[in-house]
Amino acid sequence: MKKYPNIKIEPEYGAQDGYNEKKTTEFSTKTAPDIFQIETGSGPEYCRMGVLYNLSTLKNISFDKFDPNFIKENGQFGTGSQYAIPTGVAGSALIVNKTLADKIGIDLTQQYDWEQLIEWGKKVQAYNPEYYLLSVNTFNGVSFFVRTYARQLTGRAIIDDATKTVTLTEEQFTEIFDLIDRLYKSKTCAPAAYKAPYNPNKDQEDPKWINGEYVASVGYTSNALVLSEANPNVEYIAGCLPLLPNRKSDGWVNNCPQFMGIYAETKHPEEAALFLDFFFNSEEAAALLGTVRSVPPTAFAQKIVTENGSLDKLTAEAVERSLTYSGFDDGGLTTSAESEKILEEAYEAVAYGVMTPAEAAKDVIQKLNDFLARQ
Amino acid sequence: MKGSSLSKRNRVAYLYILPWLIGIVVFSVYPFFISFYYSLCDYNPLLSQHTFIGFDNYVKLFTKDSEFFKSLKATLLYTVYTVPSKLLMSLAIALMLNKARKGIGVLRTIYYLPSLFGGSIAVAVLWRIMFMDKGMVNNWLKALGLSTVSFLGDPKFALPTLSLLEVWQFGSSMVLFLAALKQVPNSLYEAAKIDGASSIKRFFSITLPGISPIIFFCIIMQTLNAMQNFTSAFVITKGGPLHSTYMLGVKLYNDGFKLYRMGYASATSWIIFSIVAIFTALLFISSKYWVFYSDEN
Repeated sequence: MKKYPNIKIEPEYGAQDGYNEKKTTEFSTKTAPDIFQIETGSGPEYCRMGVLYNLSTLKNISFDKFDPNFIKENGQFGTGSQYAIPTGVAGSALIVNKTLADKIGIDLTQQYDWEQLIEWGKKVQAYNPEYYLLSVNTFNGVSFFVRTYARQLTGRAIIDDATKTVTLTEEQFTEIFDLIDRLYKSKTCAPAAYKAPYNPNKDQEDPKWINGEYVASVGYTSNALVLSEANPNVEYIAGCLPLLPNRKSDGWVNNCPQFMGIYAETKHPEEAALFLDFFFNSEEAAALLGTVRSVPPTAFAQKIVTENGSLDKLTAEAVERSLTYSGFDDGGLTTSAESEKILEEAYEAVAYGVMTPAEAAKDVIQKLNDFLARQ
Repeated sequence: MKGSSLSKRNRVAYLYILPWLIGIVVFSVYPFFISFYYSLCDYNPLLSQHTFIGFDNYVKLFTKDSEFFKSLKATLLYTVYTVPSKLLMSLAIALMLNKARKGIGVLRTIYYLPSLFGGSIAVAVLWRIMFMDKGMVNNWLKALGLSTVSFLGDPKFALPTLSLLEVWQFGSSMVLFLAALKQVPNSLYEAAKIDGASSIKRFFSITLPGISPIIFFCIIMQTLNAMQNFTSAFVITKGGPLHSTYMLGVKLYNDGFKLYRMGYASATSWIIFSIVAIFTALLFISSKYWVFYSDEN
């Protein structure tokens, strides 16, 4: 950097596959880079384990350009100090193949509930048994169906971090897994066996998506553009997301696609902060970064990408749609790797039909309690 | 004087092997022993803290972790599927090549090629794409008028599909068998022919005993490989669906690097080591009944 000749930035590419595992090795051997990207779900766990530097103690970075509530909700992890910085504004999204939806007679632009979703799933099957309403795999199914439905049902995260207890009853888990069971039995979702070999958030690699055989893909706003580019022959829109009629929360989350953080063991915290300050607060960086990490997190950067045309219409629409829901982020013990694994296994067992919703609920409660007993 | 020149020679020799020695101590001996210590600890790699807990990890694995038994079953099944199939395949091709007179070099290279690529991530990814529901293999089945199979999504088929990738890499065993077949004295076959032995009798009484040391070696090496399988299960199926391909290698990776339970993962690795050690010992004990060395009577 010309402005700071004493600082040398050495970037290193890190693929998403196995990213957290590589970070674990680096933390374990104290060889993590000074600055690194953090997956949203891993942020609270990293903070808890003490591998993130307390950014609030650094003088070389300012958070003035961020919306105070947004920065508080994304990166403080309930500590009152800033441990990570959100790289953008993102949220849950239903990217809809409008061309196909119109042909079948499904309107996903109007608010609907989970039962309506299943009815539409049946309608798609009646239209063509090879087609499905939703493309979703186990990983996303847990985030978007299990955890979201739980938040709508109880208004709380599945695990209460303060008391380290499970907030849902076995009956409530049974209700959630019953929904999963019906989503698969009605073929609203593509069969779990079909989706198994595909990586999460990569529907663009699924030939069925490319061929326009799904009405919608369940994912994040940051995936909107790449999904639309996989099959440019059809029209896409950002659809509404299902809600429970008597919900305690909208459930659907608006947070960020990733965080940036500074390694707790770094020898150069202020220099790292200088770079992050440039990364988030300079016009030059905002123009350079564009929308590679979804819609930028600050108003001034959003203005820049809108003016220079790098913010695509579909992503902007998906973010706008996502912001109409007032769900809350359940990041913490609920999104820890072990909780995710427990929920994914139960979800998969129900989706494959090898466990009843009641059995899955019982299994989840027992395993989550075992996990919490070790915390 | 003689003694000092010998010690100088020794010093030079030790210097030559020093890089290897450092490598094996740092990358094999030290991790080997430290992993046993970690297996007796509650060790979170993120916190870099380990607390000694005795044999708790082993007790938990055998008494509370149902996933461990699913994983053990998948690993043993994978070993049973791949080791005999791979050996039979490599022996059959080696026998065929042993008789070939023309183009043996080209054929040997062609059959060896999968072994060069087989263990790589790229081939595992290719395998995944080929065997997907809408992959090449299902397209062939469709073209032949057959019904398609969910090779990677159906728990019944996922493990055999992964096994197929391992069996496909039969090249190294084949080369060893081919070399061993060349070593069996022709005079034995000629004498057996004169005595009226059929080709099947000659195979079982001359060929098999003649190459039995190589069969013994290949069984041990292939079993070791199969028990430690990680790449294909991790890249192609991530251990799924429904734990059907959740090999012990994948389990210990997930326990160690995803769930931050490195002590628990180390215990799993020592169980894999123990199983392989017991199996190898049994094989060595049994070898005196079926392995024949030419320098023995």
